[in-house]
Amino acid sequence: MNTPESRSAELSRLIARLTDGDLSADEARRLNVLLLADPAAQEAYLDHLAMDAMLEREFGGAAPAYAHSPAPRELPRARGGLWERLGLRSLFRAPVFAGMALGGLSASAVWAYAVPHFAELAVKLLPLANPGFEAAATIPPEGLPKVFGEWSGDYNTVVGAENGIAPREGDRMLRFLRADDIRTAPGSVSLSSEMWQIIDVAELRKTIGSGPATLEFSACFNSIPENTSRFSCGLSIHAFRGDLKDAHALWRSRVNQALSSGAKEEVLEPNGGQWRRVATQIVLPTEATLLLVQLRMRDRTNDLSKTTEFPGHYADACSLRLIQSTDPR
Amino acid sequence: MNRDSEAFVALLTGAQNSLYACILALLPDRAAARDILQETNLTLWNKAADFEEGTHFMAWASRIARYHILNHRKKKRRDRLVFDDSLFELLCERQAARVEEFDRREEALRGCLRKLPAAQRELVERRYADDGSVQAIAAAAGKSVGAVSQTLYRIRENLLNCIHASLPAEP
Repeated sequence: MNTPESRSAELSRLIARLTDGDLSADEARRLNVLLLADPAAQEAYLDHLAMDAMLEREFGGAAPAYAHSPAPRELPRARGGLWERLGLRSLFRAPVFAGMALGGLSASAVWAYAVPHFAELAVKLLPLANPGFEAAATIPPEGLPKVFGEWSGDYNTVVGAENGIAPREGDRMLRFLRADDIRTAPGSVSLSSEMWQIIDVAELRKTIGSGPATLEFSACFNSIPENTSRFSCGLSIHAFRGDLKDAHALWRSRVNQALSSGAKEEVLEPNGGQWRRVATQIVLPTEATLLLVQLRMRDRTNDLSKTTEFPGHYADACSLRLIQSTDPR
Repeated sequence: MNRDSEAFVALLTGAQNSLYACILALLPDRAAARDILQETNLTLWNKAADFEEGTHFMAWASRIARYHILNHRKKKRRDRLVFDDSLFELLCERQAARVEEFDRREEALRGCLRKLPAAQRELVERRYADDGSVQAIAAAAGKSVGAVSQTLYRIRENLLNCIHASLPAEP
């Protein structure tokens, strides 16, 4: 019997065997026959393999090679249980991207870093205070923080699920309210709501050692569906040499003062209410003493008639990670 | 486009998952697909000046990836390839028509994974985690490899249905 139903069931079985590494040569020939004759089967095949690839990246594993493949290359293993192999964080799978993330280096230096050997890279979570906004009902709306390890910034609130949006992680999330803070001068106009945290590099060094280190700062953003493309979300990370008391001055002159910087911004195009993860990377120079991480939500209209209020814009699940080669060579 | 520009780096890094998915579907061999991804990245980096800002990055990147896959196929013994040449060409054509939606699918997948029942999500995580294999899962659960494989297939199918439902309808 060769009904459409039986062909569909056979196709499912063969795709499953291909995906899970058990496809024999005979089955591969049969898969060719089924796919060649049927455009819908080709679409189904492409759907499933794309899904397989996305899941592999999402969960960070190195699933066994398919049948027909040569023996998988021996890859360095993650160490000590502390390290999380990077699968989804695809940009680091190909080390050229680790090289490209080295803000401030020349292209040739990046290339030299990237090319010699395709090492596997790993990440390690680094301390970041209150990364999911679970620990406080509000973040002080006082502009740049004055102490290490606390969020501070523009007017905000910390909420649970609301407006049809649930926190990305845990029970709470940050809601951006306004693009100003309690110290903003009357009459001034701002379009960007920002939140900062200052990190003591000396504390980080206890974990990452004394040499240069590649760091990734990431956060997730979401918004109500109305007027999404009016707004953009983003983040940045800057490394400075200086004292905590000088953080405000360093920030204001970051273009000249930052030892290294990374920033990323994305327009909030409609995406069905999904959280979007935004990440940026820097190399932390050996001489850095302060790290400043920033979250922001920006009004893109450039309407300077009044300070922007944000009707339903959120951030959650921030993280700071160390990216490091696991290659023993 | 200047390869040192933040915009190019953002495009290249942002396209990695989509590019890998694109490669794996045409070359269903994970080790080879990872190698091709790396070769493709190097070519994209070298040829960044050829990329015109405002055009579709994934369309350009996937063309270069297909070129590398084709070279790989030429070097391989035919009996080591899953697809023959005519099917490969058909799949390439279909794949080219889909590249623009990869990033939307990836975004939708995250939402769909959150809706998965806990047991299914755990199974998917175990399958795709380090050292995850259907064989190991089947042995631990006292089930046949085929049964676990079919369960995973159905979960992937459910996720695909969820993604299709999440994406805006074609105009």
